[in-house]
Amino acid sequence: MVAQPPSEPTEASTARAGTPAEQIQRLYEDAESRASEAMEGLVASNGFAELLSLLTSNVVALIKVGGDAADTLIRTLRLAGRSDVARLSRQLARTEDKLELVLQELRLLQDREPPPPPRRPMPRAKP
Amino acid sequence: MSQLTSLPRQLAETANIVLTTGDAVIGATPKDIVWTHRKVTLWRYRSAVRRHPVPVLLIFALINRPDIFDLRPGNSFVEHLLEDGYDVFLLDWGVPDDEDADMGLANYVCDEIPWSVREVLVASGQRELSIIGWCIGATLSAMYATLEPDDSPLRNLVLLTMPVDTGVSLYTTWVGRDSFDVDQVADAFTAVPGGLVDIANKMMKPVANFVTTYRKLFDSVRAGTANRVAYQSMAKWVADNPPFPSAAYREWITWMYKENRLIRGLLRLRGRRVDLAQITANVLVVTAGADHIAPRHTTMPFLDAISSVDVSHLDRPGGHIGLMAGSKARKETWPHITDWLGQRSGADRDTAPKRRST
Repeated sequence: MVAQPPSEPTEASTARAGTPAEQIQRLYEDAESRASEAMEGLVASNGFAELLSLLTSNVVALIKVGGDAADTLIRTLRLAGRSDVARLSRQLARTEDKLELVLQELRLLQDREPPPPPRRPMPRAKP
Repeated sequence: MSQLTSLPRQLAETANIVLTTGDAVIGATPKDIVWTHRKVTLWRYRSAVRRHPVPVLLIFALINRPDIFDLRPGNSFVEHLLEDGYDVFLLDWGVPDDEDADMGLANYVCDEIPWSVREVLVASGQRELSIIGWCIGATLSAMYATLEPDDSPLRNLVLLTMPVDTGVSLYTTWVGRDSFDVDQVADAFTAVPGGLVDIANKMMKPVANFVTTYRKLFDSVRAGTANRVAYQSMAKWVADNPPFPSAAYREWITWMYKENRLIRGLLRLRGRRVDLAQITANVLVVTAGADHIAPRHTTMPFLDAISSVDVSHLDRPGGHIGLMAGSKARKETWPHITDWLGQRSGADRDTAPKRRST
């Protein structure tokens, strides 16, 4: 058996292959595309979903512990904390809710009330 | 060699585009405030060539800002509507905070939307309007449309990439399972940070969102084709995630993903059943072929559930957002929507065609 000598690259195949930099770029994009598909398959799995649930639970718990500690510290220092600001803002929001209800009543009255008659021009005073 | 020497400049330019994204101008079309309530604002954009009597109200999701409707000059759906002669209103949910923790779905569907509809009619002097809802905004709009079927001012309802039947979806795999404790999240946060929701959304396509986006930007810088304004406007919008009020978050996840109540006819808001069969307005449903957030199959059952006679379905290529804000949206999606609306926005309601089409 005689080994065949490697065939010379044709112009077309050279053009298709491109420069080494382009080849590297293509290889990278191909790898990225495959990784993308694989990762999308991974995140769609039940195992990942289960892990995500646990991670979310842990992160939320940590954030809550940190927030509670910060609130306690701020209250101990007799400073207004986020919860105090939120409480005031809630009161403002309730006031705004009431104003909105008044506006609704006004709109209802406007709908019910017939349009005012056209104004007559005032008679000119005689000289 | 020359490629190597230009690499530092290309890297610096890419970094500069990413780092100055916050300076991008989005939502720049002039607008007036019509009405406000808490964090909610109703805006009005005035058309210089108004020719359609029926005004349009735009409603977006709760988890991103509605600037996507008016992304940047030259690529703005609001601009497109104004040029086509519509009187345009935008319902902006604002940026909720701790004090809005009690805002549930009923607050949005039974209060904010009807109140803004009332103000649109007062401001425009019209008796009817069209609503264009997108994503969660589309679902909320559809819920609103079921509540007052008799004597409703709603003539046309356009629903873009709307989740309805969430039985089989990636979101359901993640948050619909028992091990995902929605109550723990909603109790811990008075307003669920938008960043957390954003990370979850990006995790659906992790490589595409965390790697490919930046690699493509770098490639375009290297090729000298980088569109700084286009990239930055979209990137700025994507990164702007308002908090999700905890009551609305709890209800959205539980009712839509854990229990799939809407399509099953089991959803009730303030005691009133949200029955999709009550929808009789003219309906255009737009789905996106590559939508991974509200895939086509989660929207399609809606078409069989409603009672409207005039129903159209438009399926376009693109993703959840690219459908309306991508580079091809101006030619491939917007004209279809304005053509459909234009035929149904005359002074006389009866001129609208009566048919079902896909």
